[in-house]
Amino acid sequence: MTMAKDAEPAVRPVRDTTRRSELAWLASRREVLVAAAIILVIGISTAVHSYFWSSANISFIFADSIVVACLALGESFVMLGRGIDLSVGSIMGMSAIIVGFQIQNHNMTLFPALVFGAAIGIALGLGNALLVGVARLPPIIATLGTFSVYSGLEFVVTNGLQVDTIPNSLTNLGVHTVLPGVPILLVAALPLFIIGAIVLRYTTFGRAIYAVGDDSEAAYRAGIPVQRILFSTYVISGFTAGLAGIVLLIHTSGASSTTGNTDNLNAIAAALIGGTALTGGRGGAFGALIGSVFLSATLTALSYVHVSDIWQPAGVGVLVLLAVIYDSRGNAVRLPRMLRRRRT
Amino acid sequence: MTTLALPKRWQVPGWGLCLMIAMLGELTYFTFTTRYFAANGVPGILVLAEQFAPTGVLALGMAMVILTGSIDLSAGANASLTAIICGLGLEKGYNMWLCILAAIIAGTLVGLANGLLVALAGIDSLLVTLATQFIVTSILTSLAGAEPPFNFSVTFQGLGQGTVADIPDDVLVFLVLGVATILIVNYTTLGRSLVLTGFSQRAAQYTGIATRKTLASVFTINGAFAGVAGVLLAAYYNSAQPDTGTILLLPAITIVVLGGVDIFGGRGRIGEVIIAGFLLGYLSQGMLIEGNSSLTITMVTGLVLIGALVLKISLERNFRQLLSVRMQRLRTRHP
Amino acid sequence: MRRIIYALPVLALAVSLAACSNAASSSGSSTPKTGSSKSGASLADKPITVAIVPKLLGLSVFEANVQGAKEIAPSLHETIDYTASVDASGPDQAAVIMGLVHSNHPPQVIAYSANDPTSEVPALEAAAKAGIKVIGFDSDVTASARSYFIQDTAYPAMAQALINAVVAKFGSKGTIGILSSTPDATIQNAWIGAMRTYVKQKYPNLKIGPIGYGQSNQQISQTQATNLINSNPDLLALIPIDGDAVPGALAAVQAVGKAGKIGVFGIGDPNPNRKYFANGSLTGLFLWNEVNEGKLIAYVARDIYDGTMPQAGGSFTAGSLGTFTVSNSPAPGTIIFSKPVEFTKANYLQYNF
Repeated sequence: MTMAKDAEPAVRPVRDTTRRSELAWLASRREVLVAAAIILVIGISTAVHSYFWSSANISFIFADSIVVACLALGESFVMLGRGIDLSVGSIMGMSAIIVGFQIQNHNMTLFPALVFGAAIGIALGLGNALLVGVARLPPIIATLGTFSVYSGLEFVVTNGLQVDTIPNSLTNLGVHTVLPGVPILLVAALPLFIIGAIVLRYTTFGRAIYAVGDDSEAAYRAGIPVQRILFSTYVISGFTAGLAGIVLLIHTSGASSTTGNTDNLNAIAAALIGGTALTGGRGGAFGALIGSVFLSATLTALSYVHVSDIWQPAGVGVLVLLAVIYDSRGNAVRLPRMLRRRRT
Repeated sequence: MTTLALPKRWQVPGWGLCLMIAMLGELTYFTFTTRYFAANGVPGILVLAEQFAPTGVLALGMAMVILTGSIDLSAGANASLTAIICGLGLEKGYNMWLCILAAIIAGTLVGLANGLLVALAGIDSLLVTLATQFIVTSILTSLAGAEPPFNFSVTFQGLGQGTVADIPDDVLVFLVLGVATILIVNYTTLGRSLVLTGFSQRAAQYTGIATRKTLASVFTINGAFAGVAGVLLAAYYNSAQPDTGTILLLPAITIVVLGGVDIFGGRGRIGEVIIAGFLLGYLSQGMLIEGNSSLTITMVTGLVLIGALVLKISLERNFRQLLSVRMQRLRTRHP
Repeated sequence: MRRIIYALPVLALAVSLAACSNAASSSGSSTPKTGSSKSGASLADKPITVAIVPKLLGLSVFEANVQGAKEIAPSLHETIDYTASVDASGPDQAAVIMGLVHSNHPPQVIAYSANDPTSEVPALEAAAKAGIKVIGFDSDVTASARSYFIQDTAYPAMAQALINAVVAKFGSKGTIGILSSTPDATIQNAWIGAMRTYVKQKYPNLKIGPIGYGQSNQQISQTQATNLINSNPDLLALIPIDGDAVPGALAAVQAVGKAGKIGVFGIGDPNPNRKYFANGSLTGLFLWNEVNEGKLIAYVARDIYDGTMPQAGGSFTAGSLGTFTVSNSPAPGTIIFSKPVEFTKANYLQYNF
């Protein structure tokens, strides 16, 4: 009575139950892999075009990736719990617009802006959290619905105006560098990822997220409050999206009623490339950062070799495919085996 | 002592009835509040359906994909691609039917690629179609170039804007494909396979169903449907722009979900999806005619989606509890 | 039961949202009762509704157009109805136009700025069939679908203004990078073509080089501009020709520290770029007076309803804006609005768009 080769074993081998070491092992492997890929891309591009390896360019790659990285961080939390959040872009847009007007018209400074932006993000994230955690809607539908509502709200809030002027004191954070090639923005955002990684790896809450994502039924029977965990992941996703809005203002010094509507899928792509699996249970906070940086570096490299911008979405698509094919290589069916089954 | 094992995904019976009542209700409401609905009667109402018939076709293919528990995010971009291919062929002067065939074949090939990646490589469909969407978008933008094709022959335009006995051509195509989908899902082996695969892929495998072949076929068929949708779009707008089909993706998914198809697969009736298609289509058309801004319509669609689903899920849970209690009582009465 | 209680407020919210905004917008778009037509009486007194349907909601340049139109609408017995789709999509715009055509109180004139040249045509033709006059501004469709088109400025004139400004400040030898919106954007492509022609004639040592596409998104424009700058070390100047591309290009130039060394000559409105006037990175900004263009739209709408618009070759007066001619180039029924207006440190505060 042989089981089909492509079915998962019903009982996990003993090795897998020591979750901590396995998670640490997995995490370090994947992020190291992506980091190596980044170095490869930078190396090849510099060989082709020496200006690639310059403080201004590397600094820009980092600064450009931080917006998506913040979104991907929250998205990672949600995806680890086996959910998905398709509204992060519009939450970011709302935060950017509302806080942007405060900065522009009422001279709000950086710290209050961050707090306000985070608060907006949490409030909007609560919408998702209630729908998925309490009303138990499927995450895809819930976040699709909130995406429509929030992107519509963006128009209502702007009332036809745009955020135009962000003072240089803020935008310089994305431009001035601490070390050659390392913008202040990256250094400022790093604590967020470090905290995220610590929460995921070393707190009960974090491990509960992995458990829920891996097998929510088993987690429930183990006593983990599954609905409460899911609820919190969406609040966290809203929180990081709110912060991403402020980062967007710093980086681009503007926001309008359509801001963020195209960033949802980029955030998911970055998280995927960084190692967070859609089926939950695998991935981490630094994966979000590394994935975004890799995406940003590769797209910049593409334009250096004068590949037209039209092909940049294809570049993202191919990278995502490579990442997921690599992740799923255990699930693939080998052709001879598939043909062999037919004959019996 | 053992608790009864109830089917996990039990659906509200008569959801189709609820949708039908809602649709008739909204049509009545619009007939009273807008001069267009009142003045033009049934033919006028049918002509309005021209605007969302391509979305409906997309939704039919998407329904089959969602029934298997997967999703296809690249269907919209696929429709844009086929519209552009059809348009480019028509611009160069090739035979109209040849262009339509080429477009549908192109759409099917994209669907086949999706299907092979999902089935053979075992990757989650969300990820595959996310990537394919990006790739297809680049391909179609470069094909469309600086001047996307437009101004096709009158015969071709008739496909999108003409009528057959008061029913617009593309609504007719939508209804015919709808009937075909119902037949596929309910009366063929493939249909049964795909519903069972959606319900539980593992169980279907153990039953002997070739789940991977089913998945590959479903995505291919969805690609063909997206191809038809693209051709209808090119015919209706008499042009093929890069964003023509891409914007229809979210409405198509909304229609499928509103139509009661379980997003995790395995449960759902195509007939209800068709009714939901008309419901949402007339809702947005009617609201536009009433003078609402496009903004309000986007938000209302999102709220309707959420509200309807919360209602449906809560009804299901309550019925399940009710049924469970009733069955328990039956058991104790007749041991 | 508990969950049904969650559903009901959401559905109630949806219904009330629909009802409320319906009430609000229908009161905005309903025309006052028109009296019975008296034979011989001038149509100019008849109140009409003019629907302005720009590319999408929320863009400051279109808001300025509408503001201008609304300013003189009362004096022309017009009511302005401003509606558009929430995304820059041709099919969505077509749906909005169809909604107007079928509405309870359709407008007498529709003025559009099209997202693409073709998708809106069936809707506009339906409007014409229903007796609604169709005029375009800023971005056109195929000429057969509308009566007149207000072109912002002559393409060669704008191209010359830009190139002359580049040459004046940075010399006539080098590469110029262009930042456009999308590969199929009609006006942008027309400007690029006009620039190439002018440069070939007059400044053969100037090369109109790589084109980046910012998708009308400020962040993407900034990324593409940075890549353009970094991958072309001998870049003389950047020419962003889309409203969202200008601040993106400026932010990029500032970020790489080449403000003032690489020129930025853009086509865009002054508000998003205010802080760059001061620090010198914005070396030239050209557009046209959007508020006045809105007024012109109102005037043309009035004239076309009254039937007093001239044929090609003729001219008409538009109140305080002056005289305009109708010509058949580059497309039939074109009215060129104005010469390019340059915004500089000295004058940008006068404008609020």
